[in-house]
Amino acid sequence: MKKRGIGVGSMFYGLGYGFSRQDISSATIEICEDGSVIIRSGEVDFGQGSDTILCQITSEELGIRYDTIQMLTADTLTTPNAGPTSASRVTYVTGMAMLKAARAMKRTLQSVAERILGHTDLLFGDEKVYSLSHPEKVISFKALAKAAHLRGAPMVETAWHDITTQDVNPETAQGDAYSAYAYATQIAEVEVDTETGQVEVLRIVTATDAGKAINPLNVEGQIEGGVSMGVGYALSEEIIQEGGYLKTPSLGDYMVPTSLDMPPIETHILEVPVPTGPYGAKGVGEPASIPTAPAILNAISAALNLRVTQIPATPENLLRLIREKEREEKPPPG
Amino acid sequence: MRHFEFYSPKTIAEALRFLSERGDRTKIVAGGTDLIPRLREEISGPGFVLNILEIEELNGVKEPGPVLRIGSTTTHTQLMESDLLQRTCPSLAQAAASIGGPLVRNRGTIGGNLANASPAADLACALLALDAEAVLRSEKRIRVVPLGDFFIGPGQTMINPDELLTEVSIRPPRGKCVFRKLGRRQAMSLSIVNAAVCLEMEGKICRKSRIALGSVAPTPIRCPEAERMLANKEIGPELISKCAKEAMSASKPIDDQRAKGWYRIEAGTVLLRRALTVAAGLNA
Repeated sequence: MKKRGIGVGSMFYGLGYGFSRQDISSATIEICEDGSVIIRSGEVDFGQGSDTILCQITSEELGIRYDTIQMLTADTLTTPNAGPTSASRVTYVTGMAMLKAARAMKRTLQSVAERILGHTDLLFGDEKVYSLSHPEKVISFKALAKAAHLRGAPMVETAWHDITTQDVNPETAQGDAYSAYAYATQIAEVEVDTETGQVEVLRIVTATDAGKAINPLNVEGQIEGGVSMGVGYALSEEIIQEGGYLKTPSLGDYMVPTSLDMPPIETHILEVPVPTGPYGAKGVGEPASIPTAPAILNAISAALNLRVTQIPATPENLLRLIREKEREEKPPPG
Repeated sequence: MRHFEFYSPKTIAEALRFLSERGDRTKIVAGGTDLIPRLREEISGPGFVLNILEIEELNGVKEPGPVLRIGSTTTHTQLMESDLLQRTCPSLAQAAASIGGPLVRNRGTIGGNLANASPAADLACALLALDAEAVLRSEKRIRVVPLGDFFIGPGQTMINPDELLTEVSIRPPRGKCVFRKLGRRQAMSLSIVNAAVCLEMEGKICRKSRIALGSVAPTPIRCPEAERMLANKEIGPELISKCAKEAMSASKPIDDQRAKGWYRIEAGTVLLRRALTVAAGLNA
């Protein structure tokens, strides 16, 4: 028989390291004589899209196209320390360092532009700087960069950002644990084959507070990737050892979900800005995968009216629980 | 990976000549989906690797007469996309489609699936229930071996070192044949258990049945006792359930990282019951 159930998983998550553990990041911006922009940071883009985010922040501040910005990242010789790429902290912490560096650079460019254009109400946009009240007073970003270099203005800025918290009282656990928290809820609908224990995830609906989605498509991608990790965590991924030997040494044995195992995912992005993140943004990397397994296990519980307390809920583990429940409900005659 | 000499003949005759001289030190490779990972793991490799993919006459599904002939380098993709197989032996096309993912199916071959003799081999299970035969050629002779005699144990077949598996022959069944598999995920998964059945029905009466199971014994197995239970009987849900239980009692599943033995028996019984239900034309 096939039984369906719906389950909810909710989480909150402290961004960065918290509990007085050092949590710093930095970024550098350099503008060359020809107007090209180079940014540097020790963060690692391993597919989550943080390079894109740092370029977008720089682009937003300087009014230039983000695909013209050159990046150097994760190179100990040339990039400043951004701390580890973990704890859902790169957009939140490094993004803020990038924002500070870009704003410092903007102030320098602004003062040069004020002298050239004779106005102070300047806007940076469309690769130009122009006066809001006198739009005909305009200089291209390229020409401004050249002028700034000729005047000897500092064309390198590095910013440091520190969100290290105070810590909590060890007695009461009250105090300054994290500088901000992320929130997410996911709902899973599953269908369980009660004779084989196989679970099909039919649908996952997610709601994630991103603070501010600097790149909504990227946030959606993070959430979908996180859900796939959560589906594997809930149902199939398992490290098995026997006598000290790993029995699951390859991705042929360690069961990461394939595209055929993934349900349709509906993503809802909520934006409740935090003052400590760039434009109010928070991290979404880990919040994307944390609620998935609880939602799936709750959905299985709703379908079968039994509680799964061990993951992964493989067909074998689930069938054993189903059989145990059957035995409890129908004690043998006599 | 160890060093070996690699040969790539263009004709069957050249390949057989090579095997007659160096067969005992040779591994035959076609798609390489099993051999290449194994070469990486093993400490001592073969002296020679004989690639048979360049031998054109070994590839393709042919219907020269009443017997279908499938060349040993025919890929899983070719099998699943073959109109002829989808029409005459859908269980084989289903089994081929259930293997790995597109990359594996584009490389892996029917010959490799059989010669590797994995107890979980999906094509082996489907072919057993089709009464397929393996054609083995050496320089000296041609042997035609029923698949029921072909497997000796895990990784072991009755292919001699000087022999090449050139084709698989099948008489398309008159009845309905069905393949089902239970894996740990929807793709890229070896079978926890698989089942293939062919039922020749006359109305509700079963005239002939063939039942095969995989991943529940050292080799893919046929279940003759269970087959006899269905012969000349009216098929209904109760008989099917009994038959599936009987078939499973012929199995000797092991515990491994994919599943425990008890689970293979329980889930395999369900899988087989469902396959029989579909093959008998009853509502699954």
